[in-house]
Amino acid sequence: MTLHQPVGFSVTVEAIDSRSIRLTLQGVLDFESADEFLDAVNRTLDAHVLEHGPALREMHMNCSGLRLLDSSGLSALLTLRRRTHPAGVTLHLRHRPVQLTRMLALTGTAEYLTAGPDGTAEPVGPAGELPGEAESTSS
Amino acid sequence: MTTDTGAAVQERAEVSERLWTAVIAKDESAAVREVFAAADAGVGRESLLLEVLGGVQRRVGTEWAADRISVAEEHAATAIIDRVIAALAHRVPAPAGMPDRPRITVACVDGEWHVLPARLLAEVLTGRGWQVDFLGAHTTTPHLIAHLHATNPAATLLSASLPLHLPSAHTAVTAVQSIGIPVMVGGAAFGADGRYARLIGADAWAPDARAAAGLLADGLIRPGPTPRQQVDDLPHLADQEYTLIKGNRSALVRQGLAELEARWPGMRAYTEAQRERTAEDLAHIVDFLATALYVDDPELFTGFITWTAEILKARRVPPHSLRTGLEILAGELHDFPRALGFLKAAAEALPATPTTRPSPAQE
Amino acid sequence: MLVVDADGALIETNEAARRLIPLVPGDFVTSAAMPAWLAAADRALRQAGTPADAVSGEVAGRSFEAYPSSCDDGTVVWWLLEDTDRRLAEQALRGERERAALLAEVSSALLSSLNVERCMTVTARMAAGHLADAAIIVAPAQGRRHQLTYARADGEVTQTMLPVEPRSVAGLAEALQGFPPVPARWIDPAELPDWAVPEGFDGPIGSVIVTPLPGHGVPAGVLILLRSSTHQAFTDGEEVFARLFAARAGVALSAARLYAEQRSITTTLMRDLLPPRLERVHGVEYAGAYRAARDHERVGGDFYDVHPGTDAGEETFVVLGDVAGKGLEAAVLTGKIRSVLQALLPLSGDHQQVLSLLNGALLNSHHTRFATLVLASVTRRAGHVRLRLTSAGHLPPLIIRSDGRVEEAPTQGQLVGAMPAVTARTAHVSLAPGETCLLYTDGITEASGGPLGDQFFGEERLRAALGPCARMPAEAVVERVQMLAAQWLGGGRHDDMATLAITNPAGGHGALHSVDGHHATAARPKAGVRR
Repeated sequence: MTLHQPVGFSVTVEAIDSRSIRLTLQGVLDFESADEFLDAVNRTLDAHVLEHGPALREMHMNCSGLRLLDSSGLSALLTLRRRTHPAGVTLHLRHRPVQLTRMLALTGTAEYLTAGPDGTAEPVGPAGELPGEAESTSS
Repeated sequence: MTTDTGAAVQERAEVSERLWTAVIAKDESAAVREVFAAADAGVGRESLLLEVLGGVQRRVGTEWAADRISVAEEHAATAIIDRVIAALAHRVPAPAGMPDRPRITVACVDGEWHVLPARLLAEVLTGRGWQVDFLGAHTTTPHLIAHLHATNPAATLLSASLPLHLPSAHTAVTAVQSIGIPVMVGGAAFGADGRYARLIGADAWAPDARAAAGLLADGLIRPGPTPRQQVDDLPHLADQEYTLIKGNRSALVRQGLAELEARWPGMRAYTEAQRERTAEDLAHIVDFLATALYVDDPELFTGFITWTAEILKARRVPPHSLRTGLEILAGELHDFPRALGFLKAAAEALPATPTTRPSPAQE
Repeated sequence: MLVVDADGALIETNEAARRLIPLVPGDFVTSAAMPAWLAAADRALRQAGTPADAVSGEVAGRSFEAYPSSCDDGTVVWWLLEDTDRRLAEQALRGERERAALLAEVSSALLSSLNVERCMTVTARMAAGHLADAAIIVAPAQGRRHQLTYARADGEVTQTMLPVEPRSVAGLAEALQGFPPVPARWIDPAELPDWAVPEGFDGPIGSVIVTPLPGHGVPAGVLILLRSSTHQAFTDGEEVFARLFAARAGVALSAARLYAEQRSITTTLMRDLLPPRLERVHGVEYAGAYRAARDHERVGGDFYDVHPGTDAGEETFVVLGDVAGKGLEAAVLTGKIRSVLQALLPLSGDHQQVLSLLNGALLNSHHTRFATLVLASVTRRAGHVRLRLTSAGHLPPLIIRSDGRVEEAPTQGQLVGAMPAVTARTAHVSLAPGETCLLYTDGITEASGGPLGDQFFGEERLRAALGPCARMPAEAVVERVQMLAAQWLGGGRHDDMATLAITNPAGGHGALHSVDGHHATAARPKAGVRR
């Protein structure tokens, strides 16, 4: 018998340059992991400001490994936007699994979360992919 | 107590039949009319509760087992009976002149959703003058204990219908006793002779609501202040077979499904829903096996397997899928001597049939 | 040493023996001055005619062992050896052990219960059983009255509330204020008022101890111990032990009292946060079920309310929602939202306006908690139930048609409390008899478990489960959904789960007026008592 593995959550920094940060989200972003997520992203943002000043413009999050985003997870994303939007940083939620797409559509938050500095949302396909990106198949 | 006249007995049989018709037609108002009419015709309050309403509820269970009604219909019928009890309690209040008896708590154990037996008991005890706090179905033990600390009842009565809930009943019984309150248990889960009630150390066991009322009136002895753990009652739990099987239920089911598919490739054509039914059937077998290990009684498991075979037969599903399930579990559990013994005994109790192919058990 | 001849006459005694037993040679052992136990042993020895073992007993208040040695002529020499000190030591040790065991028993019996009445009952019973002939516990005053717990040595315990004058018992007023106890010898048993003597107490009282039950800073009550005049008066050692006993009992009682106070505060504060009990309103059935994320809590981040229309022509306003988060913190926010919505009731004709105002009210707070909710305005016209349904970022309500089809209400809108402005689209739905509209939170669909252990219950399974719920009473629908979700979880962790059913009853309008709005029977689950 193999023992059951509990579901966890992780956020990984994939690449950083002066204008952009790329993150990968994995697992379940919920009540248990929301604080951990915000801490990790805030630390990354703090470090970026120290190194590059206010140069950051884009934060990309690869969501293909996100098994579930519940209301606490959504709350964390909205909290993150409270920091990034006034600083001129645009959030991009890439490779959205079906559940995330549905959650954002249901709550009417997709455009608000990913709005650019001028208030316009990024052009996205139905699954949240940018033009030219392959659609994610994970869910 | 009310002693019914011969006419009332006749009336009772007739009203039971008419009530059954109303309940199955989901006609709540007709059901209420029948019961009110019977009350007006002189059928006693306890008889209405236990023989008429309780009788219809038992018939619902039998009809489901025989595949003449669905689970959802069973649920709807139960809901209507529950509403009728509420209406009856309002219409026919507890008889006056009953002794003012102490406060008691009635609840179903954690996980138990069959609320009617406890509900009927609560009504009967209210009718006999007890001050009843009825906590309803599926009462978690922390919630039960908090309620007991606040109310300090003279006794707690716990109901469980499915043997699967014996471990949680045991947890509840020891927890209640540890705060010095006696516990009576009842319901089909504890066996026709109450053997599992004794096993888990309940202070009393009653085969039915009237017996429970009688025992309660005689008085229960408060348990001594010596808290104990489950393993003190059931030393065989130290072999960890129960714990490991319970803790790895999902893994056992997954492996079981894979093995079933390997033995019978036709399963690959199953729809998601069919696969899920099959997984649920396997999970149910694992759950019953774990419970039998908990009380260390192979008969509990054998009883479940032969009962399931009957249910499948009523739904025209041949029992060899059940046999295959047992074989696969035995293969997975080769390091568990007690479990192996139980699986073997259950397989031997199944009627012999030529193995052709397993098919999904249906609800 | 005493020497007794074959006829039972004393032949010789030594100096030490004479000081203890005032007999001279020639006196018989049967004389009154001879200790009875020694005379009996002498007689027994002669009747048996065989060497006997040592016997023991008291002489002049001291403890002795007597060893006989028989001579051939029937003369017996009794050697007396004093063992008073050893005996006292043994007695003291046995007493200590008994007391230690009793204290352990007291702690074990009392600490298991957090119920004040029960703690007082157990304390009084143990005190009466082990320390005295009767015990009374005087609880701190509630107004001018005190709760009194009486226990007799036979185990009978009674409780009553009485106005009690603390000055009527010497030392009681002081003990109730936590001053050190008055020595037992200062209390005149004859002056005890009637209330301080349990009913059925035999005979005059010989001695009394009044000792505080010390608690967390203030006394948890006072313990009065009574001993009948036919028994020995309380000794100094017993007084000290009574104080030890009272200290243990006081700690347990204080813990129970603290728990009761906390629980009462929590109950009061939570009263408005608990889900309401729903019933039939203007011919429409409403039923709700709620299960908090944590088993020991009764509130959480989900909520629902039904605000009945003032008459059958008015809309009934229903809300079900979910705030991000769990536990009491989330529940407090649900309380705020419910209050705001109640205040907005006069505007409930316009769901969009209600949501915009609620959004504004929530945005002003400093945290980023938001809420998703569904508003429903319900009227019944000509046998049909008409619904206006508006989702604010919430799962759309499911409509169970009488033929078993399950439809999603076409409403969609933005969540409230996070964005500067919100918009929503309202759906208009009509329910024929036997049809139900189900509002639910994502705790149901996100229930994780099933036979494979890690699958979500999901909207598909929910819809499949609802199909057979056509023509069911509202209560049965919510019960079935809660049951299936709970069974899917199989004991695993879960979020708050709320369901609310709005049903057009299958049996037609007003079929069950007898139970409308009545929950009089004691056996009904009580809103505050159920999970």
